[in-house]
Amino acid sequence: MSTAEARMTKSAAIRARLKHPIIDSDGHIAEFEPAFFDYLKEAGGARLVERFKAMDGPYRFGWYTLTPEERLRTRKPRPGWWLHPTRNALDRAASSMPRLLHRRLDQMGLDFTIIYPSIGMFALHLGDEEMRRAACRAFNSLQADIFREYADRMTPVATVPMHTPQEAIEELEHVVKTLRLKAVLMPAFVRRPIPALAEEHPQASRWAFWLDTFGIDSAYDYDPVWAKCLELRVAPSFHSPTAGMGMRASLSNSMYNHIGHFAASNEAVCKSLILGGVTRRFPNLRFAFLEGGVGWACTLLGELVGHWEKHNLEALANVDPASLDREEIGRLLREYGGDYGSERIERWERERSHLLWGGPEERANLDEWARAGIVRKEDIRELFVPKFYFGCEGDDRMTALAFDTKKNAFGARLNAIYSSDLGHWDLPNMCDAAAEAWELVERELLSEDDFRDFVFANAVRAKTAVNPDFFKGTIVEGAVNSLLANA
Amino acid sequence: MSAGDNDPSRSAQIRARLNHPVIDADGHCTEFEPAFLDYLRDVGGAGVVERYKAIPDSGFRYTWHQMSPQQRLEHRALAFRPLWWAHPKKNTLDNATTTIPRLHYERMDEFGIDFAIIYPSIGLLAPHISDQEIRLTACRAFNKFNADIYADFSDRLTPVAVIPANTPQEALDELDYAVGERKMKAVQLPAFINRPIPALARKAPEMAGFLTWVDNLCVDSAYDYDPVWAKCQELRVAPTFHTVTVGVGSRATLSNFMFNFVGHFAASAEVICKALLIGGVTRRFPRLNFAFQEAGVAWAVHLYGGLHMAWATHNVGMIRDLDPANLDRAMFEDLCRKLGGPLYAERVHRLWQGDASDLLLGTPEDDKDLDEWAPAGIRTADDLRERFVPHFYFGCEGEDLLNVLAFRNPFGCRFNAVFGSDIGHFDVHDQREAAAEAYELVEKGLISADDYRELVFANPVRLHGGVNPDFFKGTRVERDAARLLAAPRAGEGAQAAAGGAR
Repeated sequence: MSTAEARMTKSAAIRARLKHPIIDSDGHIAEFEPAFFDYLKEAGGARLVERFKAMDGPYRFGWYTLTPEERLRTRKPRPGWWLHPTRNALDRAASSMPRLLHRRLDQMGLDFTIIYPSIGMFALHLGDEEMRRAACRAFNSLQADIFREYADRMTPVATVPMHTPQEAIEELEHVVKTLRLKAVLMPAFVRRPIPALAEEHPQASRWAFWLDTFGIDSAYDYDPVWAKCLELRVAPSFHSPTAGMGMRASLSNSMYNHIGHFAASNEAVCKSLILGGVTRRFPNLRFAFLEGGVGWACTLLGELVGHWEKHNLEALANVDPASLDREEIGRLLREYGGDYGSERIERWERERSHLLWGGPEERANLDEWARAGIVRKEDIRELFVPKFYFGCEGDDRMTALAFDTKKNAFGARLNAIYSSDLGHWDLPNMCDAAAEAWELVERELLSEDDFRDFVFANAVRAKTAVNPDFFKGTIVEGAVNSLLANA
Repeated sequence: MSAGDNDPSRSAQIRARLNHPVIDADGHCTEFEPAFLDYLRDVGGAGVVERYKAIPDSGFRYTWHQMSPQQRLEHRALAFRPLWWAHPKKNTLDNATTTIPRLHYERMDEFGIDFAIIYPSIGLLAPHISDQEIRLTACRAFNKFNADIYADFSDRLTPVAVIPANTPQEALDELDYAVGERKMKAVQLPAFINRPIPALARKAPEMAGFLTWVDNLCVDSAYDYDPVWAKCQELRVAPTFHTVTVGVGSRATLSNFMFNFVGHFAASAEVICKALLIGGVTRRFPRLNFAFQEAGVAWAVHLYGGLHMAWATHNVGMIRDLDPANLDRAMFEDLCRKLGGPLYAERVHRLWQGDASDLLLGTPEDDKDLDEWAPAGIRTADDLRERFVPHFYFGCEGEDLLNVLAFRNPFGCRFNAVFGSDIGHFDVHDQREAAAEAYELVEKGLISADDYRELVFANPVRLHGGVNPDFFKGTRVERDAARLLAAPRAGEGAQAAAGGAR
């Protein structure tokens, strides 16, 4: 692509006017399957390739093989029709070929992009251990190989399985030390069998499971994983689809399943990290939640503050049945509730429901903020605001809320990071990437300073707080160094 | 006489300064169990009472407390941590207030509230009881009980009927009873129903209760619920939703109720709101209004943004840009050969020989399956706004800063926020403060006095009065409500023209 052609796009023109780079924190590769299968064969053998192809999953969605009646009987959720722009063959090829993508970044107005997988996102959630680990290993090797030459402007994300801390640690060691990858994607949750059901009905675990979000009541202690991330200088990021799960499982409408699904998984793991005390125990880590926008996070922060104010340990005395003045309630019932009748008033002590009166509680179980180390309201700000980063697409007007100090708790600015979604359906034309984001300024939803934080400064902080060398050797290195020097 | 403190409360002082009433669209009663259980016995017999007390989904007895830590680990999501205590206790007067309608009634001036719509507490769970007999009996008992105990106080308090909806018929029957017969004016329906997955239930009937799917009543439902919405229209009641999702999905930790609780009403509200819109209910029943309680409004603005983005990039006019049939394979192959090096050049032919995945290169689709906006009748961004904004109302507690989003948001819309005090529940430690907390948004300069009027008066009136113009007849706010409903809504039509003002 010539420079002259690059200048012709609106995105390129916008970029040319800016004094700072644009970093895309979440582009996507559309994996080139034939190469992936060869890498998978190398990692796990030909048999594994055949098994991968035979699974009901992103290679072949089982939904298409069912009749409408069978879908009703099995309540099989509708997958997305088509994920990638294909009429624009140039875009489709660019999302598969790093060399072409690299050439076209100027057209998109992007200086640097962090590339997430497509099929690879599903690999993290495979229940079959052998398949999961081999698929992740194959994706990581493939990505490392095909992006190596283009490290000045693109870096691929490694997929790190998390069914056990040990498998996460092993893959982290491999991708960082051997493959030299510097960004990682972890699942936001792991589905685990419910032991009491799985004993008698092992097959039922596909449908009846519990969600382990790693921070609270996990099946394992994941602190060694977070410690390993710090040691290896990688910031965990999350990007787990929940379309097809729980309340997003329409048989016929993929939009119904899609809308809000990344926000749902992001909220679960984010809440788990803070309430489970991970951000307290690992204050130097940073976590990113991608493609879910930031609206959910502003709500979550507000709710955590509101609930802490009303339901901290001290405040629980207000609702503790032991605090009730029994004589007074009796008087009030007799004076105002005479219609209930004295016989019923006498029975009340014996007919109290748990919902209205609670069950027997141990004091040790009551301070639900203790693990997070939250003893005053401001602790929530410290454990939430600087630690978390939120991937927002360019056309998402709700991004403005991240910067809205009037509406956010503590007057906080949340760390929104620009995420183009290039390669996927949310960005129909790659050349519109920067221009689409800039529309937030044109609509006066963001100031130019906000925009700089959105597309540059926050993205830099998200990575360099954990790895100061993240952008070393890239074309944004100088700008990053200036930003960090002036911080 | 006032049962409470003789000094005027902050809420009462604020109310005295206002030139409009304050309507609480979501207060709660805390059911007086001995009386309710007697109603339950009257409706279903003594055996039903014992069964109601024993079943895990009635809320009468939590199983969590009966389990050892080890048993909880074995049962995991089936043994989620329930709440400790839901209701004010230290403030004994407040505790008694929501248990005794007469006391609640007497204290309304202290609360600075003219009129309140009273939701249940343990009754919230009744429409979700899986045992059909207990569900129908409990809902009927709650409705009889509440209709009776609030009957003398209808000028300032009206109770909400709980409507089971596992089938349209049971919803129709209870609507006929509660609204038709008992003249209750407000109703609460479940936001979703858990149903057994047929193919699995047949194989393992004993597991049917665990192997379930979520029926949102509108999209791919097991039944056609249009007769229910039609009945609501006929009986002039606005469906409202207030469904607990603690213990559902990721909100099922064993040890942390706060984790399970945060955001749970928003989760159920999103399910049904999205379903009503996408399933075309707001198109087919344009005169109905729907309310989603105790979840604030931020989730709804976020949902609207998600719908807006999804429609803009995935409407039927754009979908074929994603269709793999439209890929110029020759160009794609050529690019692979020229730019991809041996890795791509030597393998690209395999894409067309079976290596391409459904996810990346897709499968053929029928045109009829592709316009997912068709049931909602959405052809333009304006259609989306018309199907969403005027029909949906969002219950907001007073202290939530993000309530401001209803009035100042990136879409230039005014979303219908309605004040819900949550009086009776653990979010309110001092019932005299609830309305005053809502006014703090004005005091902080975050919303205008006009916005506040919308929140605490105009929107609650439109929610119910828009479906039933007589809703407030005979109440303390009758005249103000009638005047409001007779006047054209200020700014109607202007929303469409508004830009993206923040």
